Amino acid sequence: MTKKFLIGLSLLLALFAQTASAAPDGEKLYHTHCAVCHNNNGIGGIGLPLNGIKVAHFPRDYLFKTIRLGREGRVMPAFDFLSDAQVDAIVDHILKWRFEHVEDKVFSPEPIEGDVERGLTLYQEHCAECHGVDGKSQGIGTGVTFERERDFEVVPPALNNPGFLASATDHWIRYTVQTGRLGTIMPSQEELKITDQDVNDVVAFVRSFEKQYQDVEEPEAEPPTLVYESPYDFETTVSNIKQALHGTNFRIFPDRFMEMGLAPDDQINRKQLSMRFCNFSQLYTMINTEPRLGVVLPCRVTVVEDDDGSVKIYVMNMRLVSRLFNNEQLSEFVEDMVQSLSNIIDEATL
Amino acid sequence: MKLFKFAMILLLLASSSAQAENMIMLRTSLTFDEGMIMIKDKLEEYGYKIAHIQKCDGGLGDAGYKTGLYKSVFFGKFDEMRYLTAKYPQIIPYVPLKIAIMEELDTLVLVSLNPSTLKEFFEEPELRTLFGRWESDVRAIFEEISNSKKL
Repeated sequence: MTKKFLIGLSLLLALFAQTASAAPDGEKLYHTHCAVCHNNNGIGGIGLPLNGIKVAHFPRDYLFKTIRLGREGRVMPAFDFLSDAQVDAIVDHILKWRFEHVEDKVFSPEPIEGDVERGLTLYQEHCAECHGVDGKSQGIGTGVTFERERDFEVVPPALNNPGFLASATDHWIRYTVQTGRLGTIMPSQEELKITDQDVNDVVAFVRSFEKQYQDVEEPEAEPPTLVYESPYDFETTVSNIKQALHGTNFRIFPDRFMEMGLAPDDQINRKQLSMRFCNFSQLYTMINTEPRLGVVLPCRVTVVEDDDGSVKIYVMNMRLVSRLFNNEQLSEFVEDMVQSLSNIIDEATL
Repeated sequence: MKLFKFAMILLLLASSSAQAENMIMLRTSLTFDEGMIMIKDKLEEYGYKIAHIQKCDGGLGDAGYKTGLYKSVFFGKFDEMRYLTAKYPQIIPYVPLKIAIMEELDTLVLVSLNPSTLKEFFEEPELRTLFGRWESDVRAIFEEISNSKKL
């Protein structure tokens, strides 16, 4: 009897050990999926800081949904390919960084009633300076930057973002307005000297951003590369582009033949010339907005003479490529860049 | 009404989920110089050559802007480049491939556009096969850099 019991117990323990070892490793998952943006120890970077007093504020449910849903247009992708257990494990790992022990707060999912009109007035007075009149955030970019200067140490969240509103309950938003955010410039209800009803009205206004959502329209199909025929020969086209660039705020880099650096100089095709240029003021703003921008930098137009003598100009379609960054602010800046490039090519091929 | 809201939110969020793998990224504790050497060595191991290095930090610094170290490494293979630009000239703005390398405090972040993302733009089977190979190479290179010991 004892022997049977011991065998049974051993089997149970072995089964338990196997189950335990199969549990997702939150630290490993964090390093695989999160650390590149939020940094190894959660101090932030491309993504927001998640350590110390910052994370003390987050309820588990909010973190779980944020990982699951992401932030559309705000760089953070939706990790919808991870299992619930994996997301839970990542949340557990992040919550270990709490500055001090804070009990998990569970917030009711019930809506909070408030006067949206009054909330708008209060929001404009107390919140819009950081979160933006339209809830899109006044901060440039996301997260923090250690290597460049910004108006905000930590970029205020975009309160109108579908991912934020789906992750945050009304009661948690109210708690946030009541307590403010330690480690940021966000003040508390007491510091703002507003009433409980005022807070509810602000929450109702923030929730009303959901009503602004519109059907997502499929973007128009666009070619990945803009190709322009030049009426001029190769040398004249190159010269015209340089001339057009001189009339702008772009700094022009030395010309490079496309194959340069990949083969000895005497073997490279000298009828494929890349002209590279940069407006550093614009670049600084854009790199603050999207630190990963280096993967498509610098601005470049390439002039190519085909075997039949015809000359074409090739330009990356930045409007299309910018969508790959999941960064709405970048897409807005790119519109200016696309227009500048278009003007340059128009002038050069007139 | 609640169901409609939920459906709308899911629809809006669906677009961000597709973004997850548009970039291949790595954070490493290598120093900037170590990272640059490692990138060069690994690219060569995989048959690529560095075409040139764009010093984004230098230009920004010269223009009076505060920035940490930030460079873009352009790399490719000569034969591949010649063949591709002749047969598929629309690929010209997307080659050579690039890795952006940037400093963040005492760590380095390496980023590459996931070459397979270009499959959304170009439908030629030959190109799509090539994009898959480029992705596999970039992932392997990042993995090896990630596993490397500090010099």
